[in-house]
Amino acid sequence: MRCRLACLVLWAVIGAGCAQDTARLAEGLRRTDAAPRIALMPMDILLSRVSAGGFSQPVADWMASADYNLTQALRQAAVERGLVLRSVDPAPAAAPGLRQAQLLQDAVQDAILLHHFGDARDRLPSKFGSLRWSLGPTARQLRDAVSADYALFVRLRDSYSSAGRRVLAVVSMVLVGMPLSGGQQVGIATLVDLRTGQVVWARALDRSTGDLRDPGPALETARLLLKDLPQ
Amino acid sequence: MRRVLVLALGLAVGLTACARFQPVQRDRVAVGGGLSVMGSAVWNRFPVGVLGADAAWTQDGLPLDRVLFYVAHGDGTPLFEHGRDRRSLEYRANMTATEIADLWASELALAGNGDVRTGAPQPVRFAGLPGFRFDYSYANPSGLVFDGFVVGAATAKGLYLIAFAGTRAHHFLAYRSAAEHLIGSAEIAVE
Amino acid sequence: MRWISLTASAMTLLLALGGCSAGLPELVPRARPDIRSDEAGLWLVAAKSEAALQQAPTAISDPGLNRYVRGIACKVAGPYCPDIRVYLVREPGLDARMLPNGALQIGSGLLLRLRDEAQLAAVIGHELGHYVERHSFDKAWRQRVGSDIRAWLGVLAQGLAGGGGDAADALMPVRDGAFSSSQEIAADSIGLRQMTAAGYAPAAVVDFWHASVAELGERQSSIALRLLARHPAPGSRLDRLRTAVAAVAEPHAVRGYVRYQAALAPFRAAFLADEVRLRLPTETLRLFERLRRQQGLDATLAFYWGEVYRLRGWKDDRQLALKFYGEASRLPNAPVALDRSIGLVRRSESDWLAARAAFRRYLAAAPDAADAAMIRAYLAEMPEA
Repeated sequence: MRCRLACLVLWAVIGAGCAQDTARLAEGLRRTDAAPRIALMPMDILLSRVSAGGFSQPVADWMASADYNLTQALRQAAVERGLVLRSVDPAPAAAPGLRQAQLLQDAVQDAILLHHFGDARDRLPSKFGSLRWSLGPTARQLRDAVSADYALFVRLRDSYSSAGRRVLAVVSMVLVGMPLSGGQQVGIATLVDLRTGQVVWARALDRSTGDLRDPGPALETARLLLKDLPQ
Repeated sequence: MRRVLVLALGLAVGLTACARFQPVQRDRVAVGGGLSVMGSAVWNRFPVGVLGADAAWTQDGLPLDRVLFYVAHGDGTPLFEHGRDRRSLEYRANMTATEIADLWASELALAGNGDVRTGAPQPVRFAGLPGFRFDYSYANPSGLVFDGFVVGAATAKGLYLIAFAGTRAHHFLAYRSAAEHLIGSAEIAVE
Repeated sequence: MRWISLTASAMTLLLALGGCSAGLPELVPRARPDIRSDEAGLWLVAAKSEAALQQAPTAISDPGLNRYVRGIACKVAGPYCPDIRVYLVREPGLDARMLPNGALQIGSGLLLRLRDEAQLAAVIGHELGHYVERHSFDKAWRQRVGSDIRAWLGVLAQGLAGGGGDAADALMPVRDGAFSSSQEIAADSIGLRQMTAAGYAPAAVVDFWHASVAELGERQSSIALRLLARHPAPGSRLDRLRTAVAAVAEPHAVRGYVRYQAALAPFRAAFLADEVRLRLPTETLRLFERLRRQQGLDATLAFYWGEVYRLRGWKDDRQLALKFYGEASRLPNAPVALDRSIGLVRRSESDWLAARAAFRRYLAAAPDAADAAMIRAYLAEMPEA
C-alpha cells in the first residue's frame, strides 16, 4: 500500500516532468565521419480528428500534407545542425525482404518508449539508464537497401480536436468542472547506425501542442525532435 | 531544503521499491519451486509472470526476447493462465514430451500468435534429470517472427520448463547462448 | 437522475440507428474516395493493414490456391473485379472480412468449412456487398455520431443533476462494433445477386448458413463470438435468405463441388490441424460432423477426429479416439502419425503392450522421423510386462 502511494507520487512527479520537458536526451552519437550519410526512412505518421465523443478518425489529406511538411522540416532542421538527411524511396524500403526488419524496428522503438522514456518503474536495470538496443543484422539489410550509414526512423501520432469537441470541452468545464483532453502529439525518433545495428540516439515526444498540417509548426516539431541530435 | 532532501530520498526508495524489473545478480538465483540457475547482469527479472509463467526474464524487453520459467507445475493445472476453465489445456502428470509440445503450440496459438510451429521433441538431460527439448517458432499478432526453444523435465514435484524466445531478425541469435547458459546451469533441489 | 440517463440512452439509440441513417450511395466500380473526405482516412488506414496482410507470416502463398480463389472472386465481383484484392490467411475458425478499401481477407477456417465453389461465391458476394455499400464508413459514421451524442448528453446530464463521477464514462468512445443487421441483410442481397449473375446456384448460400448455424450451436464460444460479432443474427437472416433464394430461378446453376474439394485437398490436413490446436473440443466435434455430412469421412478427417478425443481425454474419450484411429487406419492414405497417436493413447491407459506395438509400427514406417529418438525414449521408459 505504501509502495503504491510512493509510486503514485513518483509517477505524478515524473509525469509532470515529462509533460514539461516532452523528451529526454538519450546518449551521445560519436561522429567519426566527415559527412555521415543519413537516410530519412519512410515515416509512420497518423493524423486524426477527435470528435466530441472522443472518437478518433484518421484524416487522409492531413496525413499527406504532414508527410510532406515534416519531411521538408526535418531536412531543414538537420541542415541547421550541419547534417544532410536524404529521403528514401518508400518502395525499396518496403520490399518483402525488409518486412521483418521493419517490424523489428517498430518493436525496438516500442521497447525504447516503454523501458527508456516511459514510467520509471519500467526501466531495465541491466541497461543502467543507457540506450542499449540494436537492430542486429537487419541493419545491414537496410544499409544495402538505402545506401546510407545511418537511418532515422520517425513515428508520430498527431490528433486534433474537432470543433464539436472544443465546444464540448468548454461546456464540460463550465458545467461539470472537468477538463476534456484535446489534441496530442506523441512520437519517437531513433537514429540507427546501419554498420553496427546500434540505436545510437533516440528522442520521444509527448505533448498537447504542435501541428503538422502547416509548414511553420511542422518545422517547430522537427527542430524539437532533432534538438539533441549530435552535430 | 531538508524537506526536499526527504522527498528526494523518498523518491529514490520508491523507485527501487516499485520498479517492475529487478536486476539479476551474477550468482545462483532461486527462481522458485526449488529451481535455481546461475544469473548474469545482462538479465532483468519481471516478477509477475508472463503467459502464466512463474518468472520471466528479459534482456531488451519482453516483446523482443524472454526466458519464461515454469516451476513445479502440478497435475490438472493449465500451463498458461487464461482465466478460463479449459480442461483440454491442463497439464497432466503422465504427459509425454510429444503431448507437452502440442500443449505449448496450442497455448501460443490461443495467445493470438500465428504460424505456430513446434519441432520434434528430443530426449535431453535437464538439471540432471531425464528431460526433453523442442524448438518452436511463431509470428506475434503484428507479424514479427520469433524463434525459441523449450527445455524441461517432469518430476515428482511437477513439470519444470525453461522457454526462450527472441525475434528471428536479431534477438534469438544474439541471446541464445545466454539462454543456453541459464538452462545448462539449472538445478532442481530435491527435498 | 435515472430518467436523464434513460432518456439519453434512448435518444442516442434512436439517433444513431434510426433517423440519422446515412443512406450512402453505392460505390461505382473503380471508385476512389476524395482525399479530403472522412472515407479517405479509413481507406488509408486500411491500406496499411493491407500492406501488412501482403507480407504476413500467416499468409497462404500457394499460387495455385490464390489463383483459384481470385478467379472466383473476379467472376462474382463482375465490374468490381479490379477493386477487390483477395488475401488468404492461415486462421482457424469461421471468418472472412472486407476492409473498406476492397482488400478481402479470407481465413483458412472458412475455406475448410465451405462445401463447394458456389458457397465460396456466396461468401465473396456477401463481402463484396459490404464494400459496395460502404458499410465500414457507414459504421464509423454511426459510431462517431453515437459517441458524440452520448458525450453531450452525459455532460449535460451531469451538469444539470450535479456531480461529475460518471461523466468520464459518458466521454469514453464506444468500442468498435459489428455491422448492423440491416447492413448484413443488404450485403446478403448483393451477394445473392452477384453469385447468381456469375452462374452459381443461390441455394448454396442457404446450405452454408444452415450448416454454420448448426455448427456454432447454442454455446457462445470464442470462435462463434468472433463470427457473430461480424455477422449478427444468422438465424433470422436464414429465413429471409430462404425466401430470396426461392424467388431466383436457376437454369444452369453451378455448385462446383468436385472442383472446389480438389483445389482444397492439398491443404485440408493442415487446416484441420489448426482447428484441433485451438482445443475447443465441443466446437471442433460439431465442425467435424459438418464436414462429414458435406464430404464424408476420409482417413485425414478420421485421424483428426481421434486427435480431438485424445487431447480432451475425458472418461470415454480414449476409447472414442481409438475407434476413430481404427477407422482412419482402414481408409486409404492414413497419416503416418496415426500409430504414434495410438501409442500415446495406449501409454496413457498403461496398456504397455499395445503402446509398445504402436510406437514400433510408427518407427518402422518412419525410421527417420524427427522425433524417433524421443519415441525410443518412451519405449525405453515403459515397464516390461
